[in-house]
Amino acid sequence: MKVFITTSQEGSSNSPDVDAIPANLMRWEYLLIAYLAFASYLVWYVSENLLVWEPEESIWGLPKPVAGALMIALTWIILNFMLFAVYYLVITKRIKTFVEGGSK
Amino acid sequence: MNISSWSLIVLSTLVAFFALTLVAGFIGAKRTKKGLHEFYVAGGTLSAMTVMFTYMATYMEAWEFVGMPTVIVSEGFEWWVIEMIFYLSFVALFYLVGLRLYKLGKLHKYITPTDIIVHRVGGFERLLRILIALMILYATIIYIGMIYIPAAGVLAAATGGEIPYHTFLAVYVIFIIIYISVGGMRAVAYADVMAGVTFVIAFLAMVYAAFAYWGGFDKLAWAAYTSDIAPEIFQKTQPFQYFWTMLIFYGISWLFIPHLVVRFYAAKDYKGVIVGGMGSNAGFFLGAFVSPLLLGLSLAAYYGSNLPEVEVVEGYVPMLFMELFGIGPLLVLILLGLIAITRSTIDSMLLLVSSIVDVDLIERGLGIKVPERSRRLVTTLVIIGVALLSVIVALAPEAPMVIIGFELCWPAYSVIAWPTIIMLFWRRANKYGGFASYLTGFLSLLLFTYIIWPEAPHNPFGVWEGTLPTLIALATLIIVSLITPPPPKEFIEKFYGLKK
Repeated sequence: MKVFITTSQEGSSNSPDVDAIPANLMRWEYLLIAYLAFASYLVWYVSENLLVWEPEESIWGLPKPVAGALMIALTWIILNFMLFAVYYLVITKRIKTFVEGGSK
Repeated sequence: MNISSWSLIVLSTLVAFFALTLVAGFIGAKRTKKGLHEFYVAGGTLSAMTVMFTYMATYMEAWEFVGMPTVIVSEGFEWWVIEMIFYLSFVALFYLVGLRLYKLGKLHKYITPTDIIVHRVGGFERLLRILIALMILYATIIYIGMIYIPAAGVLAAATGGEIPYHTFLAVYVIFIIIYISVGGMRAVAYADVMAGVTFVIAFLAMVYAAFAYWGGFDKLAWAAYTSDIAPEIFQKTQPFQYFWTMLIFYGISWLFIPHLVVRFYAAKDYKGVIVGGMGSNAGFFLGAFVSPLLLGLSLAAYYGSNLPEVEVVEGYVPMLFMELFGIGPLLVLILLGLIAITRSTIDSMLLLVSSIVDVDLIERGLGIKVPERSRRLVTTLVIIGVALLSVIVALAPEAPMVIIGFELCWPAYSVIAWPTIIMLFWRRANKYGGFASYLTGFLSLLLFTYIIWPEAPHNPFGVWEGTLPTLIALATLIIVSLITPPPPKEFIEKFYGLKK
């Protein structure tokens, strides 16, 4: 069966990290769907409540729209470092398991 | 024509910057070995640090540095908030999708973004390559043209209009063509590192200066919020569904943005994806959050409703710097940063589009065999052609670059990205569903944008411009795949690397 005529590298050996990355979603990755639900709520809250011109009110000493943007930005930057740590640990552990499994 | 010494310095800055990047290009060319895989994805050997800079340089472009601050005062603060919303979903799924793209790229040694699409679809290869190439070409030409606007507009504004916008546009395009034709992906990556360093220096200088002038971030924010333009710009004009569809469709579609996909291919190992991704996302916090916020608020606080007269609105940013810091070495440094960030995106886009036309369209789509010796010539011609074609978008821009991106460019990427990402995980998707989804997505996009609803947001529901075509593409993918036979088990196992 000819499915892909160009660059497939069949037969070559893969480095352990390629094998260690699962094709399917890992179970804990489904939590990211829950996160998207939270992000949707955050977007609703900021867009409906904080994108206003009310100079007499403030949040954290800042104008409401600026505070709203800060809430969103802090959410994704914290998430970035958290996910980096999780993925680094998970993939490194999976590689170790693969290498040890292969050498036995 | 009398040109002031300052205008000549601005012009010389542009020339000097490109001369330096040409050196990087020549070094890149010397180190570039033979073969497409080397030329387009650096042989898949870029280290985590280099990958991080290339991600960052690719994303942190004029869009964030010039476009976003400008749009805060020209269109409203909400458009910049939308960009922050984008990162909520993009950052969350970056590692999830990026690692799979890296894995498949290493497994099958892909060269172009189209490679992974046609491989996964598993049929109609020639037609699909042509279709995807046209879709990417459409989006890329708008994209590059969109970035030409601030590239030339910033420099023209810095000279106070002494050297016109169109002159800088011509000079800029010529330099870009020369430099990118030389060294391929390795040259782009080296120059991206240089651009990244330049950007960081210029950015830090600006943060320091902005704080010194306004006396602190909170004072700046309140000065902007109580300026006479504030009641106009700090208001929501779009409905909630517009913001929400930006979170879901716009944010996630950038996980398969073509010029980022090739960087996943180019990573040496998984650390290149993970460390590079973490570092670049952290960089976005400075480049996409802090920098546009400071600059946008500064524009509102300083000018209020008395915005300066410029040829394109993106010229507000250099005008502000000239007012705040005066003409001198700091301003030259800032201009260098601005030039660097516009260039870093355009060159990678041109390299991408050259690979799409060269590999996907000519060789594998139309089946025309080009000898290796003539390959560089074809590539150069493609780069020149696309670089020139993109000028059309920038000749007389009718909207700020950010609005052009949201309305015309990103929707095209969304109809490519969404079916692809779904097919990375949904194994029941087959060649019929895959091909039909891209076709209906692209056709509906063109139909909605140019014929049925020519006014933004190109739909009657108040959702983001890319939403309806993307939904149509996804519905087509699912329905057609389910009513036709599933893909062969052997094919699926090979594609996902389940069988050796």
